[in-house]
Amino acid sequence: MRIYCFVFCIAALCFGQDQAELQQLTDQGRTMMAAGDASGALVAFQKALAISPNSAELHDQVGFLLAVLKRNAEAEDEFSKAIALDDRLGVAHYHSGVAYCLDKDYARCIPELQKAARLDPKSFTYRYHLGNAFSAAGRHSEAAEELKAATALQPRNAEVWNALGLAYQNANNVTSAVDAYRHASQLNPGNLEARNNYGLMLVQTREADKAIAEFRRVLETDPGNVNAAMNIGTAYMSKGDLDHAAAQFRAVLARDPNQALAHYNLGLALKNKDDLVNARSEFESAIALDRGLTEAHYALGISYWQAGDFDRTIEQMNQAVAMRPDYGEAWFILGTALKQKGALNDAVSALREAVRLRPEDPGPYNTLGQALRVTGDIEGSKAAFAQGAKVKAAKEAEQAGMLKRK
Amino acid sequence: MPSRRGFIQSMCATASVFSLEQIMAAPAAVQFVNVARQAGLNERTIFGAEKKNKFLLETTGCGVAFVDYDNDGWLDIFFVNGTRFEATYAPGKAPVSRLYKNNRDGTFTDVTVKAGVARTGWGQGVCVGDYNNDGHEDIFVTYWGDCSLWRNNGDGTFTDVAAKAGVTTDPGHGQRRWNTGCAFLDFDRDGHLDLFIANYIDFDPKTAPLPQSGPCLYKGLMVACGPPGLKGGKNILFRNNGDDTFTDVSAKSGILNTPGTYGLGVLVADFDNDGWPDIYVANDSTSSALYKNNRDGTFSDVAIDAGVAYSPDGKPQAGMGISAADYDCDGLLDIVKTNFSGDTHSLYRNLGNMTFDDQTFQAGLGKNTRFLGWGVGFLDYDNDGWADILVCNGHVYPEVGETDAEAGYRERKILYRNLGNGKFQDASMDAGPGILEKVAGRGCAFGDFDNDGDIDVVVNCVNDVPQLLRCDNTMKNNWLLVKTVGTKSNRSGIGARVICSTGDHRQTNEVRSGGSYISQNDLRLHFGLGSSETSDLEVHWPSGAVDKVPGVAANQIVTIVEGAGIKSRRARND
Repeated sequence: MRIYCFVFCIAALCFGQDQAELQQLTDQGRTMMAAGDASGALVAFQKALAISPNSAELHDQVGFLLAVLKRNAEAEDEFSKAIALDDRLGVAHYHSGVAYCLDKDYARCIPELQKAARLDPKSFTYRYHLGNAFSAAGRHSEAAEELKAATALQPRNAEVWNALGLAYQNANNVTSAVDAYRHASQLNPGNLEARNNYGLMLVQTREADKAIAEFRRVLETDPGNVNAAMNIGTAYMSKGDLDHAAAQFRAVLARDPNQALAHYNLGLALKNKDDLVNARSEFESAIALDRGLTEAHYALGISYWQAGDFDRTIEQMNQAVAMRPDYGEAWFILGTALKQKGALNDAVSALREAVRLRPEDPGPYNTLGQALRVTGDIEGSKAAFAQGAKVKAAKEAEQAGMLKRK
Repeated sequence: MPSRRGFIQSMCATASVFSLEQIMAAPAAVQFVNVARQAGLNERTIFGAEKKNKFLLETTGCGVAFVDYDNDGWLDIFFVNGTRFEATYAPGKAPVSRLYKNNRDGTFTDVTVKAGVARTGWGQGVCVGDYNNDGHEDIFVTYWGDCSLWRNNGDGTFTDVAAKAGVTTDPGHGQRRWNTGCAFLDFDRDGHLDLFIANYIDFDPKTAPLPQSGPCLYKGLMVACGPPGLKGGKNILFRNNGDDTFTDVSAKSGILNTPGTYGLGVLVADFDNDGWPDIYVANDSTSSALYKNNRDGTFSDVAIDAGVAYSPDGKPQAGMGISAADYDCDGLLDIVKTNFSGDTHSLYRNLGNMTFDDQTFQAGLGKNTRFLGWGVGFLDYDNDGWADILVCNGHVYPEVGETDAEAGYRERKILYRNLGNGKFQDASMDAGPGILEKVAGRGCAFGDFDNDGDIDVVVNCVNDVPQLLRCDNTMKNNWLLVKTVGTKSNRSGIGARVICSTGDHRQTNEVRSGGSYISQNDLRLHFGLGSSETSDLEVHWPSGAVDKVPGVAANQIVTIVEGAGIKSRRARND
């Protein structure tokens, strides 16, 4: 009995000493973290973990510090241990998720963040990072859902509104994107990226004048902001004000003649003014600066097409589809120009590709039908026209639905 | 040829659209000058609200006809007129269609009331033809709602006999049909002119969507909705019974087999040279229709197979006005069609066997996309024997007038000169102030109103006074004007094909009702002869008869009667 008491007393004494040391080490670790000394903090917490190896919180803490020190594999291991010890430790799931995200392993990142968010749905941090993870993984509707929840938790956080705007934009929910970006811009007028995005969404909702005002605000703060300057031109283009658009793009080029996109956009403005010669010159300049600008090849090809130069049209469209094999519009014009040149077999191939890539557009079907007819494939021609008619009817039904009197 | 002072004065009378340098530069050999004001054509066409339109009906504007209603050998003018939804007019002040008699001195007199043709309504198109073969040209006017068949009484007056003749288009139940382009044609070759009417949209202002419904936007501006998304109308074919009445044979003829379409311009021509008239309809925002005459009272829509339904890349276009001519002088009638801005106009070259090849880009018409075209005509403006093209433009939506969008609401014309090699050159900037003047043009008609051997143009503008573009041609090229009078064929000679040969150069054209954008050209056929002093004429009548008239001297107006050759000749300005 006496021995048991002795052992018990010694154990109690040792435990008390351990707790004190554990506390000391934990405090030390936190102090070092606050001072930015991740390495020192890690040592302290590892010592603490040696005392209390079944502490989920300590495993999580160690894992966090390892992640800070970019020792991701070890970090993930610690997080796993923390979660194994306590599956309801939200912060461990959160840290684990973030670590996987840093490795761009969204397949693992997202479930961990989701667990964290389920455990603590009122955590702005968890919802925000989960939303960002969804965005990075291309799951934009889910991203929008989480980020929307995050804005409810911190309605004055401009960053999250900006992230929400981007998620809506990528999810093609333009109206909601406009609203989100508007919030971001109002909360942080200095966030020029948000303001630029806001303006671009306003262009999409056909509010070009409002968009121009936003872009001009960006330029007031940052006169050299090329994006904003270009976006003004884009906004003018969207409302058909080609003269102002051209002037704007010229202004960008006056500052920096090597802006390929500005040359391209100026070319578009000139082309729409039927100034094909100068438009071509701009497209060629854009291509010279950026050979990979497929849209410039396409637009150059169109300008040749309008002038009846089918050889050059074909050349440019071939370049465009070589660089971007899923460029449906380019396949379509390529096929059309080949048909006009009489190269019917090549035309049919190109048009079939256009149909495959743009099944919602009746144009390629009709042109394919015309080409097949000339080759003598009457049944194929009829089938193509029939399919084109179906697609057209579906589009018209959709338009009719939109026009129901409200 | 006007004096220089008169020339400058006439330009200053219109909105200034050109620089002093342009005014003072030496004019090119052919100039179009707007002489509407001096001519006494000063009444505005009223059509829809001026700044913002709720409905598409307010945008389509009206047609215009050159018609020699009194058979004096001088072209008179009939302007269709419209109205406004919310307007109320004092008695006698409502806008009416107008008939102007040619005074033969460059001026016209308004004889509307005297002629009894003053009607108010949403007037659309006009076409001319002697439907009762009494020797006087009658006038058919389409409306949103019931149309008017103005029977020419031969004494300077007209009577609306639409109901009596059975060409009303009232579907009942308080509804109205939206009738647009029209043409008289003898589709069954029985010697009596039948009547084809295009229809646009099934429209009821009580249920039609408003701009905010879609919302319907154009470059960010809220505009009238449609046609896409709206129910299309059904075209109509009336067969002339030969007793001053007509029967609706739309269903029987197969015209109704084309599903609801948005029909505007109507063009009748024998496209496959089989002696039977076919009908081409420019549809808005959908495939155009080409009704091939099956010679048995029926038609088949072969537009898609023929290659005239779509753009070169297979897309439906917003087709408005159309014209036919043999622009490459190969004996086959080709087609030009106007389309929306952002698109090109279309040039379809006839290859024979009812097939066409879209030559828009190859011919040089692909370079202009910023204008919105309505009325169009092939015309040999320089009398060199090759058909040129003139396009009347103006934007659909008055809302763009408030902005700097594209070419604006009021737009200039485009003149393409035929180079004789299948290609055209844009000659607009050198063709005179009338071409450069910006208006909201709609229907336009082509004809020689001053009988001086060159083709003038009359334009019906939306909510504005019209234009009368007199062609002042100082070139020495020769010309011929041919009027046809049927005896076994319909009296107007509509459908008669005239081949005018000067050496190896053969020009082919047909007497045609309707065409352009819901308008009516001079029924006389004009041929430019270049330096040739004579030409040989061949007239293929709708009856099947052929008259050959060789060695016709240039620079005169001849009347050829079926079976009897030339019955009268008149020198220019006579």
